Amino acid sequence: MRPPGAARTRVNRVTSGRRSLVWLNFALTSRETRYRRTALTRQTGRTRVARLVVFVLSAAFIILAPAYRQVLHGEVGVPAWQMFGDTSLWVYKIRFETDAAGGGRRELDRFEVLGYPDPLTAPREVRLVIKQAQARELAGKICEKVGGDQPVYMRLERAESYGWTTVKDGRENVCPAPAPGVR
Amino acid sequence: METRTGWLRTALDWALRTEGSTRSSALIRIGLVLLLWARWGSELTFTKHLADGNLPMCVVFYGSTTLLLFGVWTKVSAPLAALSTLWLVYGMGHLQGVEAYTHHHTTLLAWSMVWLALTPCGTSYSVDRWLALRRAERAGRPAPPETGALWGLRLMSLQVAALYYWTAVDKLTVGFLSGERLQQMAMDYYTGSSEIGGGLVGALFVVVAWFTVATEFALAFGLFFRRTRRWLVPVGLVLHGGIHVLLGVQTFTPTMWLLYLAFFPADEVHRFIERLSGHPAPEPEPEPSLPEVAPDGVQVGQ
Repeated sequence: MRPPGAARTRVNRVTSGRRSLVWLNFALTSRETRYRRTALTRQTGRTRVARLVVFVLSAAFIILAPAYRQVLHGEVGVPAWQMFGDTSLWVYKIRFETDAAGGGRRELDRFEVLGYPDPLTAPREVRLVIKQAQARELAGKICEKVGGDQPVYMRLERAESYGWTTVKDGRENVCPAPAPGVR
Repeated sequence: METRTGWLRTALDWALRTEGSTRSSALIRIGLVLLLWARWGSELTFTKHLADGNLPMCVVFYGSTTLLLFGVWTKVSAPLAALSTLWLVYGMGHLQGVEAYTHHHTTLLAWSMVWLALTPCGTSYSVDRWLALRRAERAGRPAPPETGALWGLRLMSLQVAALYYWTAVDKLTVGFLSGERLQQMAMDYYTGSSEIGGGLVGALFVVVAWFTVATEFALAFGLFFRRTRRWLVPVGLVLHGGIHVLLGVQTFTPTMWLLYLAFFPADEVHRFIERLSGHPAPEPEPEPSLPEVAPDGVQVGQ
């Protein structure tokens, strides 16, 4: 004997052809089961078809609707599951260099040059570049700090969904030329 | 041909014809309502919407979700709550331009509410249940069973699987699989605009990127099957926990954790709760004879 309220799994396969068997069961089963089975027998015909239609349409929507936006690039606001698809695409990767004493180049640590020994506590605009204007401003400050005659090269890359695209290739000195007569 | 017919019947049984415990649906009901309030509670107070025409929607939202939380008239309150969350995402979000309401975590909440409305979520842990018990006691009838049709739960599990599938498909790009998209996020959230670098660190990002995609594809299909689910659920829980603490995704992680319940056989969840409560476990159903890779909860050959 199953305790009242106990769980059970049962597959409802009540078809019109089996109704006689169902009614035989109805006569033989307990009152609790009979109550449930009566409810199930009413789910023949239109109810079952309606449930099938709703399920198939809903499942098709769940599975296929994202393709409309993700594959066909549709605009209507059906669900699209592109988590983090456009996250951080505003980020710029920046690197400053200057001429090395023995030839070639050496990296300029922007935190060290600007007086922030711990990058984690540096102001946000120094740590994270999200606009080209911000990069130019940062370059200007570094030029001021390193002195007028020392070149500063800035390599700047913008985040893209496929990786990085180069904005400044770092070949040119970004510091303004010193005024005539000023050394 | 016969095999194909067998598979179709198995799929139909799993999708539409299985009955089982309603406790999973009820737990999801309670959890989803709490998540709705966590996400929108402070933004839908009446005073913020006196003049923008959304006040009736706020009334419906609070009214329906309150009734749903306590399990009152769930056959009405659940569809109303679903409609109000759809309005939040598509009406206020897409039409009125509240961009924050169009994000994936809010969209997932809204559609989960729709599928919840198709479950018998008020048959357990609810005022409706208490009223049914009282009626049965007064009539001298045994307690009505906590069972119902599980097709709404099936839709919920399909929703989770589709989400994993499509987000994995979205990551099948050179940018992601090369680890560079993850590097961009790491720079944005943590390290700043300095180059993260190649070498071992760069290789680690590549490994994490491939692992993420592989895990999402595995979750999309493997959660349906008992053998793979036992390994994938812990992996999924850790994955979402990690995403939450590293990147901050509002209600997305707890929503996904909660929806994992839809994959577990409802009667096993019921028996587990009974065991937790110290009650003797009901006699288990005979193990269904399933095809090797058939979804759980299906009974064939009856």
